[in-house]
Amino acid sequence: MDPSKINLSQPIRQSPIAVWVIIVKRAILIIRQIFPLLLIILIGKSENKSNYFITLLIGLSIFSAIYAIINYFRTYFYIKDNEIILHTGVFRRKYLSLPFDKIQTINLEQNFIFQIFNVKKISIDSAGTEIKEFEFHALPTEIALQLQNVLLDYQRAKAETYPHGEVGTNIDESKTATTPGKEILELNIIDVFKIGLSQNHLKSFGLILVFLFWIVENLNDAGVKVEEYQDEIFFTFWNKNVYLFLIIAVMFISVFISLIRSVLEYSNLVLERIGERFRITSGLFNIKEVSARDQKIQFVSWNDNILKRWFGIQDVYFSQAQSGITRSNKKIVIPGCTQENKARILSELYADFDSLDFDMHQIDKRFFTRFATILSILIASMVCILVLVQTYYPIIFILLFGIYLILTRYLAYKKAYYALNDKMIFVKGGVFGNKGIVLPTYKIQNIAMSQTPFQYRKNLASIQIYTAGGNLKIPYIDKNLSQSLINKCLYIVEKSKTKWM
Amino acid sequence: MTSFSNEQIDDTKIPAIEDIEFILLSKNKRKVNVISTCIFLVLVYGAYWLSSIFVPYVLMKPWIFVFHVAWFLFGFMTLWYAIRSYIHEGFAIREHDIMYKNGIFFKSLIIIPFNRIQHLEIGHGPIDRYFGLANLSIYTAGGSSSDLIIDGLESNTAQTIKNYISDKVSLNGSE
Repeated sequence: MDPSKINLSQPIRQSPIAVWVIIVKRAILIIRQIFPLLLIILIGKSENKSNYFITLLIGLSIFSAIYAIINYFRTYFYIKDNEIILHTGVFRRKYLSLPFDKIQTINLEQNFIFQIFNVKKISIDSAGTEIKEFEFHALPTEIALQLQNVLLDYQRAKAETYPHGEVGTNIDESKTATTPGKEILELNIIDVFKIGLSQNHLKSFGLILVFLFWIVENLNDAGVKVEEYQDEIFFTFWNKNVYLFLIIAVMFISVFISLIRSVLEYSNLVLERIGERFRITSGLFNIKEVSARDQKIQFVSWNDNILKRWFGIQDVYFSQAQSGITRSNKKIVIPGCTQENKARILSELYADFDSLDFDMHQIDKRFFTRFATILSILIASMVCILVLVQTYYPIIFILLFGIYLILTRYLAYKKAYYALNDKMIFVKGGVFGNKGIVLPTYKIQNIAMSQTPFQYRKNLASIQIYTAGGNLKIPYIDKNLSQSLINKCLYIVEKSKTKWM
Repeated sequence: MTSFSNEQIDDTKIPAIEDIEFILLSKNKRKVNVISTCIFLVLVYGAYWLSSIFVPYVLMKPWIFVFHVAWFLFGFMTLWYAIRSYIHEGFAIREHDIMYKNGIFFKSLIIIPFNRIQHLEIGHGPIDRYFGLANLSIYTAGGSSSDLIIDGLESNTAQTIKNYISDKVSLNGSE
C-alpha cells in the first residue's frame, strides 16, 4: 500500500487477517468455557462420542467464523477532530470516540504469522473514557505506523506544553514512530540465555502446579473421581527413588520452561531512546513494541539475584501510571541490563542524575534485632513444647526455618538504605539479590507515617510513599528523621509546578 | 529529558508536620462507634446460636463456657477501643495539604497534598445519617491503599472541607 495514499480521515477496516484472529480468539474463549463438556465427551463411554465431538467442533467453527466475518465488516475507524472514531459491534452496534488527549500508550505487536502478511496488532490504552483499552487485531503495517505517528505527533505537541506552560512551536517531523533512536541496549542470544537461566524458576514450577491443578479440577467437573485414583497411584508407585526423580524432573522442566519463555519474549530485545520516550522492541515470533513516555514513568527500579549478579545483569523496571482516573499501573521490564545500561537509562531519563549526591542512611538495627528476638523466643517455646510431648522430628525443620527467617531478615537489614536530596528519593534493599528504586520527589502522590507500639516506645517510625506507579516503604527510621523527610517531600511536591504525568 | 528546577531548599524554613494541632472529629462519632460495635457483637452472638443448629455440641460444656468468656472479653476490648479511639483520631488542614491521624496502639498519619487530589466524595452510612454525620473520601492516583476516608465529620463540616479542597484543586489545575 502506498503510504502517501493512506487517508486516516476515511473509514478504514482492519486487514482480512483480522477475521482469522477473531475466529481463533473466539474459539479459544468458547473452548475454555466448555472444556468440562469436552472432557465428558472425550472420556465418556458413549459409542457416538466421536460424532458428538465432530458435531461440536463443526458448530463451534461455524459460529466463530460467522461472528468473525460480521465483526470484520462492522468494525472500522477514522480520525476526526483529534479523535479516533470507532464503529464496531456484532450483536449490538457501538459507536465510540477516543480523544487523542485520553490516549496514554500505543503499543504494536507482530507475531510470526503477522510478519508474513505484513500486518500489526495495535493496542491503545486510554484513561477516563468508556473504553479503557482497545485493540485493532490486524492492521496493515503502513496504516498501523501512520496511526501511531499521528498519535505520537499529537502527544509530542501536547508534551511541549509541560512543564513550563509554553505552547510548542516546532514539531520535529523527523521523530516519527519508525525513526531509529539512540540505542541503549541490544540483547543477543547469549544474553537471552543468561536471562532465562537466572529467572525465577519457582514461577515456572508454580505454573506447572497450577496447570496440574487445573486439569484435576476440570476432571472433577467432568465427573471423574480423581481422589479414588489418587490413592491407588500413590501406594502403587511410591518409593524414594521415584519421588527424587520426580522432583529433579520438575526442576529441570521449570528451568526449561523459563528458558523457552525468555527466548520467546526477550529475543532481539532493543531498547532505544527517541526524544522523550523509550521504545522497547522484543520477541522471537511475536514481536512487541512498547513505548514508555518520560511523563508516564513514575519511578525506576531494578533488581537482581545471585545468578544474575554472577552474570553481571539486572532487570530494570519502569513503573508507569495509566491515569489518576483508571488507577491501575503498569510495569515495563527491561531484562539483561548491565550496570552501564542502567546508568545510561537513569541519565537519559533524569537530567543531571550523574551529578546528584545521595547521602545514604541505613535503617535502624532494631528492624533486625527485634524480629530475631521475638522469633527466637517463639522457636524456643515451640521446641520446648515438642520436647515435652516427645515429638522430635519437626524440631529440625522448625530450627532450619527459623534460621532461614533470621538470616533473610538480617540480609534485608544490612542492605536497606535510603537517601533524599532536593530532587530524588533513592531506596536500596534486597535479601539475596539487590534492589534499588529511584523516584523523583515531585512524583509523590501522598505520604503516610506509621508506628507500631514498639516503634512508638523507641521513637521510630515507618514511612510509606505512594505514587501512581506503586508504593515504596522505608521501615524503622528515627521518628524525628522521618518527620523531616516527610516535611521536605511535601514541600517539594506542593511547590512543584511540574506535572507528575 | 525531564527537567528539574534548581532552587536551593532552606531546611529551616520548611513547614513542619510536628507543629500541627489536629481537630477532633464529632463527639457523635464515639456513639456511632459504640453502636456499630454493639451491633457486631450481637451478630456474632446470633451466629453462635445459629451454628448450634448444624453443630449442636457447641452448646455443650465446656464450649458454651469458652464461647461466653471469649465473647465477653472480645466485646469488652472492642467497646473499649470504640470509645477510646475517638481521642486518638483527628484531622488538620493546611494551606496546601490535609492530614489525618488515627490509631491507639498502631498509629498512622497520612498526608495528601491538594495538588495530588483526583476527586472527593461525601458519603453517609445509615447510623451516620441518624447522628448527622458524614464521611469524606479523598482519592489520589496513588492506588486504593493511599485513599483517605475521614469518618465521623459533621455533615456541614464535611461539605465545607470538600468545597475548600475542591476550590484549591481547581486553583492548582488552572495554574
